[in-house]
Amino acid sequence: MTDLIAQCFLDGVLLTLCGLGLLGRQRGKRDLLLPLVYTALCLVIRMCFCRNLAPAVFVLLPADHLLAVLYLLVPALPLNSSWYRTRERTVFWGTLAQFALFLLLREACLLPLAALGLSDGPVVLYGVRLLSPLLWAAFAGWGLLRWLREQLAEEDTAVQAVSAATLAALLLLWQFQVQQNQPWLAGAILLSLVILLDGGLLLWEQRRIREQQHTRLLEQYLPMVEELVESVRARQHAYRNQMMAVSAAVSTADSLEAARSAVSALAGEAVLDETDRQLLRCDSKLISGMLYGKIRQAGLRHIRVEASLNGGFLRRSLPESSWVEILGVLLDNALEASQPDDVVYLRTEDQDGALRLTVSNPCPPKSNAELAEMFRRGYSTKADHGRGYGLYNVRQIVERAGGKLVVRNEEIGGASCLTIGVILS
Amino acid sequence: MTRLILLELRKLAKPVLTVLGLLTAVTCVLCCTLFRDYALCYALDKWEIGTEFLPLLFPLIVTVPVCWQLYYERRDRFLVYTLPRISKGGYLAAKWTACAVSAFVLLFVPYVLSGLTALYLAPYAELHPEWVRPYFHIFLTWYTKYPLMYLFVLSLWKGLLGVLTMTFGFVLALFSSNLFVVLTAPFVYALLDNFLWSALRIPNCFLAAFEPYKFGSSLTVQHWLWGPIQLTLVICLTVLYYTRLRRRSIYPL
Repeated sequence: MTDLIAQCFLDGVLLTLCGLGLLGRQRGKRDLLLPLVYTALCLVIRMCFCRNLAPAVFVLLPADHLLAVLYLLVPALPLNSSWYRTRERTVFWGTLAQFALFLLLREACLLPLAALGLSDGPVVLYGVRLLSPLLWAAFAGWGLLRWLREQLAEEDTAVQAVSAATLAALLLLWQFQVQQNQPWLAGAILLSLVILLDGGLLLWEQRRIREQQHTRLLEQYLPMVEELVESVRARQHAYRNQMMAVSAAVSTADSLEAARSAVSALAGEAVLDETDRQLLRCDSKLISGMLYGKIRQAGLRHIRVEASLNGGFLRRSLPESSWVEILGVLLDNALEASQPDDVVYLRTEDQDGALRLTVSNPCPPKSNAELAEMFRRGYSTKADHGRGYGLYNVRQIVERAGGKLVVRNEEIGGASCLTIGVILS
Repeated sequence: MTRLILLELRKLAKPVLTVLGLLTAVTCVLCCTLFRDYALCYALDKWEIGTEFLPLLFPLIVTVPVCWQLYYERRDRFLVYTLPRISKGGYLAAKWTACAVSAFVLLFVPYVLSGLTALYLAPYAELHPEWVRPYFHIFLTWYTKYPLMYLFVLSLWKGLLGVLTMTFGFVLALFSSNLFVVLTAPFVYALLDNFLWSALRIPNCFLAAFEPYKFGSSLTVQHWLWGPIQLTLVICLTVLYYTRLRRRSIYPL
């Protein structure tokens, strides 16, 4: 009986972890009760609805036939629905994904052990159950679960289909293993196929989403680039006229002094704005369009943005869309914290093969604790709900890409400034 | 009223007809194939073998395609918008009638058609009534001599039990705020009821009423009727719980 309870508890813990990973943490410390609820469910299914009592049958699932899986799955739907309090479709597909992930983790832990000749006994019974949460932690560490959770929350059809197909494939494999007394080689081949197919589909989906996002950003920011180019063309036209005036001034001047003063008077008006020059040097049209929009937005609030772009954004570890997100958050925060007539500094430079991007805005010096706190989820200086996710998202993006965050108090042009930025290779 | 019922039936037509088609096809195919591994005594054995999975799943079959719509009508406040046109009781009665007809058809048609398939279309199989002695079966004379009558009466009974099960989901859809509770509660109820009565070794459960032949000679009329009576009591208690204790309203304002 102790063994049965211990095994069901470990099953319950893994089911909870899969649920939390794919549907999100909802109730803080009360989430700790969820493994107990799932443990009870697994116990009831194993004791009341399973005919086979050999523990080896339950290594993969707390059920011994397909109907018992249904008995497990059906109560899990209202349980997840009342616990996670999210949309019904998300709960439905999330629950399917939860069971698919559960089976995938278990299979991935069982097959190497079976290949080593271990197919029964406490090593397998507990080894598989203890290894699978570790594999879950690895998945969570890679950010796979977070990505899946986001896609499930956005009701992404491809991820939903992959979850359902994976569950169906793994259930067939499990049924086959239970009936054939766990042939590990056939199982390993089938599992590898399932993982390869899933991986391929998810990568394709990720790529599709990225391209979609890129197109959306292009549609949003390309008109701004066109506006920037248009304004430069207009200035070029004026510049040509001014050059003609300079030429005329030189040829009609009586003396060298007179020509010099005429030329210097005319040349002063023919200088291209430094910010525009910097934006034209930027290697990404998307980012220069976005920066042009932000700079104009700042101009309406009488805030000056000084840009110094000395490093390229393309061919880095982040796609353009992520750079746009980072720049958007940093500039929006800096502009929100600035007063009219303030200057916001935007700098990029190459640093040992990586790009260092910083945004500085006037701000009284902050303590180290305050600087660290800014990247916490939900931290905001404003009282409104639903804020405080910008810098948290920047931190997530930077951590995922293996970059570094820059945050410090600085003095620029005699004014105390807060500098926030990233270093990404 | 008839037009309203027809309108409600039309609203349910797509999911109900889809499930009905699938279920009929599956049961007919199973009645023609599954019996090959069994020794058969009478012609209707093919039907009982082919439809063996239905008693376990029927609470889902009669609830899921039917009750979700009422839940969404209540959640999206469609019910409130019907108030200026029709009385609360009138609308709910029409709705229940449409749901009841759907639930009945969802069980009756697949059972009857699969039974007819088993009797007239399934591949030939030798029958050996002498192999099992004494042979017990509920309504034995009908089962052996008038299989069509047996098929029709039992399908009718199962259809009525389907309506009762659907009513449980219907009541939950009127009060509950969780779709999955509405759709799965009848299934979970049937499971728990089956488990509890089996633990007490009394064939009183709802499943015994649905599949009376499974319980052999130990089944009496009281046992047979207890399941539906108990479910009716549960439905009444659910209504009382939501209206008196939780003070929930069907028409949220």
